[in-house]
Amino acid sequence: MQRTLLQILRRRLIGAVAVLIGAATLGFFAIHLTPGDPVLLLVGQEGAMSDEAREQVAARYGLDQPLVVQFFAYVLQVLTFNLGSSFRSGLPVSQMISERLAPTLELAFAALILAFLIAFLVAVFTANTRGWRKAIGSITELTAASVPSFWIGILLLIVFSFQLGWFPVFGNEGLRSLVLPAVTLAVPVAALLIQVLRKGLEDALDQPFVLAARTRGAHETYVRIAHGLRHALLPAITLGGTIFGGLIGGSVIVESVFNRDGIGRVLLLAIEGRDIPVVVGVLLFAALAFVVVNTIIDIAYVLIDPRLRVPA
Amino acid sequence: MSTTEHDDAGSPGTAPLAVEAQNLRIGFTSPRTREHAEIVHGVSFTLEPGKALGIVGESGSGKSLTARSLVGLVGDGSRVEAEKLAVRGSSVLDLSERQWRSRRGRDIGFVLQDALVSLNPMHTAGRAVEEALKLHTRLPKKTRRARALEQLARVGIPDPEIRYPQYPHELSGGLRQRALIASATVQQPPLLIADEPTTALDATVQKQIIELLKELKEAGTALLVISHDLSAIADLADDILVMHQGEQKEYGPADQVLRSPQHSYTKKLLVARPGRVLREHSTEGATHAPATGTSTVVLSAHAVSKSFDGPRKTVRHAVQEASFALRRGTTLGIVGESGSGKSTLARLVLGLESLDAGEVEFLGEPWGTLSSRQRLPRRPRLGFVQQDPLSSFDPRYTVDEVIAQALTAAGIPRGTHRARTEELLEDVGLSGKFGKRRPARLSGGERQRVAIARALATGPEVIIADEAVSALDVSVQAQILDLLARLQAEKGVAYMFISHDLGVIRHISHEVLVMKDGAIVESGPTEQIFASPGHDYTRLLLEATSTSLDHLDADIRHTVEQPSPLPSPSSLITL
Repeated sequence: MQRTLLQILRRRLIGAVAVLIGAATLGFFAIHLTPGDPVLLLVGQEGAMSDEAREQVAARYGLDQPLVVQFFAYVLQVLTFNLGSSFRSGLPVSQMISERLAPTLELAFAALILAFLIAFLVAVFTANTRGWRKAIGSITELTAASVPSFWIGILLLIVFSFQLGWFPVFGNEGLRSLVLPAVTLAVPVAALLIQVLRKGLEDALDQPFVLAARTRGAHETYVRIAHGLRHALLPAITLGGTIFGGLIGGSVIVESVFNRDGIGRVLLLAIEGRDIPVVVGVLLFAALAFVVVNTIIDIAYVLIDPRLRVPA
Repeated sequence: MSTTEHDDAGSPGTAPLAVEAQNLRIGFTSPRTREHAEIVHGVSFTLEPGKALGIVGESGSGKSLTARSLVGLVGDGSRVEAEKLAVRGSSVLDLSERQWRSRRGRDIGFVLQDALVSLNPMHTAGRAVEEALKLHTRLPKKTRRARALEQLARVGIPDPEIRYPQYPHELSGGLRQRALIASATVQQPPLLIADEPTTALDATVQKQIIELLKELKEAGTALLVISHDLSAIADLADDILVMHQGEQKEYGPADQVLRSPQHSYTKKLLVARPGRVLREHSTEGATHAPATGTSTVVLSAHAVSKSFDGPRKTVRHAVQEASFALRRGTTLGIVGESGSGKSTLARLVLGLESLDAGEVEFLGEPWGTLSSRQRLPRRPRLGFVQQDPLSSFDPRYTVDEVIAQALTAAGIPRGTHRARTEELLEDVGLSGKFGKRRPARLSGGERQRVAIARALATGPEVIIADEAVSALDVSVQAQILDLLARLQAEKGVAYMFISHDLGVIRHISHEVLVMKDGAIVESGPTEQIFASPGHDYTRLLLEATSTSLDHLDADIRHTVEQPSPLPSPSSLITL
């Protein structure tokens, strides 16, 4: 098994470098192809400055160089883990990201774990059932999938913050401030996971080995958890990984509704302000997050399914 | 008898019957229409401790439902009724789910068919065996482990310590089946039910599993064995019950049922056994291979080899220097156990795998070393029939469309498709109405007929059939083998026929090729191979497939005097 894990890590490490270079290239050109003069944005107000001063600023940030030169300079920087400085605040991009990273990761993790918990309960309780249990499953799934998340967020705020006063309205102080945003983010994710888990569980429960377990005296709950869940887990984990990447990038709305600091807000402000180094920095970070998450998924696969432990 | 169960089981003299069923009826009620459909119509039998009852029937006969009614796992919406249904003297009608659970795995062991899918691929063999202990007892983990190891050893698994932490995919078919049996018997249940315990196994392994079940029986376990194949359980069963379409056709001591079957269906099952008929036929003096040695060679292999990269830098030699020649209008049977390389040889001949060495010649010209584009002109002359045609049909196509697709691929003008399709379906014994059906609505035998019609569509010289009848019931097997023989006689097509089943190979082949570990260990005319096998491995295979039924063949011949409901397979081979 260790051989298999080492193989995965080696393959992923090579992949990570390729993905980062690709992401840096895409990000760089995407930003430069959009209209608008970054120098003007840097300085702030248009026309309020002489041409001479403008050129000085451009020279200082290397914006007077040909695009190709800027590009190679940038790629070189990225490969040495130097993401440059923000045009606006002048702070190093890596510092900006790392400062805001923790709240976003916290939120994304909490949401993902919550979504998995909800999905586990609903799927185990309702897979392959008839009558009211099946109805509960369908209704939960449908509602969770069709309600927009900002609406859930506002609803939760009205009920639990304004009315009941159980949770703070905004901020990222402590665990209590995490609950409502995490629920908001988890609901649509849970809807997807319920679908996948329930389908996987139903497929597994049809397998002869489940019948075999029943002939040994296994009861329903035991069969579902000991025999069914592990089979249903593989597709759910794949989906979960993709979602987790999305949660990091897609936390913008929730961070806005709950007025939380986080990487989503950093990205939003950077795009508005055409702050190229920050935008590309966040993009690179998101790409890296995907690589890391997929590596974790690959490893989880091997841990869950013994059939994958044969070195390829 | 009292309703407290386990107490009176061991009392001498009055040992209760392991199973008693009187007029057992099983049906299903549709949840929507509330209509009740009865599947098993009144089965009665008894089973004593230390004895074995074999329930025999084809798919859909209700034999599995009968077995499952003894563990209360018939399925959703089912209704089990009987005048009496008792396990070890206590009635099991109207048990609650909780009462059932306490019996399953402890009083009654159940072994399902095909351990590859009946063992959870994500659980170790040890965990599977321990499961019943975990569910029924409060034994500490260490004791459970010791008991599981003990049980693995008892079912004949060498080095249980090594096997315990292994997963099903790391075990051979025989070890897997043994582990499955261990998992059902770890609590030493007095009643063991085995549903097709040998069906998916190689012949030599089948023999071993039957021996193991015999040992359990001799140790006092009551055995209920279910099979579609009479010969598989002939050596094991003390009594035999024959089922057909939910009805009990015949029930009695095994000897009596096999020697003088009373019911025509039992006779049909006995006659349908492939391999048996040919021998009967050849003892009458007709030679089986009129064409051998005289007609032209249509397909030949010259020292072909193929190897694959295995795990950890090993190389697996799937086929090593295999040579053969297939003559026009004859059948070459290729027999071997799983992993012997017979399917790889077929794929090499079909051009689905590239050759590492050697050459395949088809219709007198090089074939194996050509590119797929170069093979194209002669491609329609080579047909292929697989084990499970359902997965090789597009489920959205009708039978007509499946065949038309093959005609199109062979470049046959569209205008003639309708007439040609009708002709082909008639050739394989399917009347025109089948053309509009979809594959899912056909029976296994009908599907295989369609697959043969499709293979014939392009007018092939050679058809390669890979386990083409292995998934079929015995009587359907016989029909398909007859069909192949008739088509060979009519059209002069040659077959390369691959099977793990010696009986089938013997039935259809003019020449036989025995494969083991990628190499051809023996080849020659069918009768010579079967009468005087030259290689130890062939002898082993033959020995593994011979059952006490073989000694009965002479008797059976006398009992089947009236025209059997099937055309006799042998009468067609000589056409």
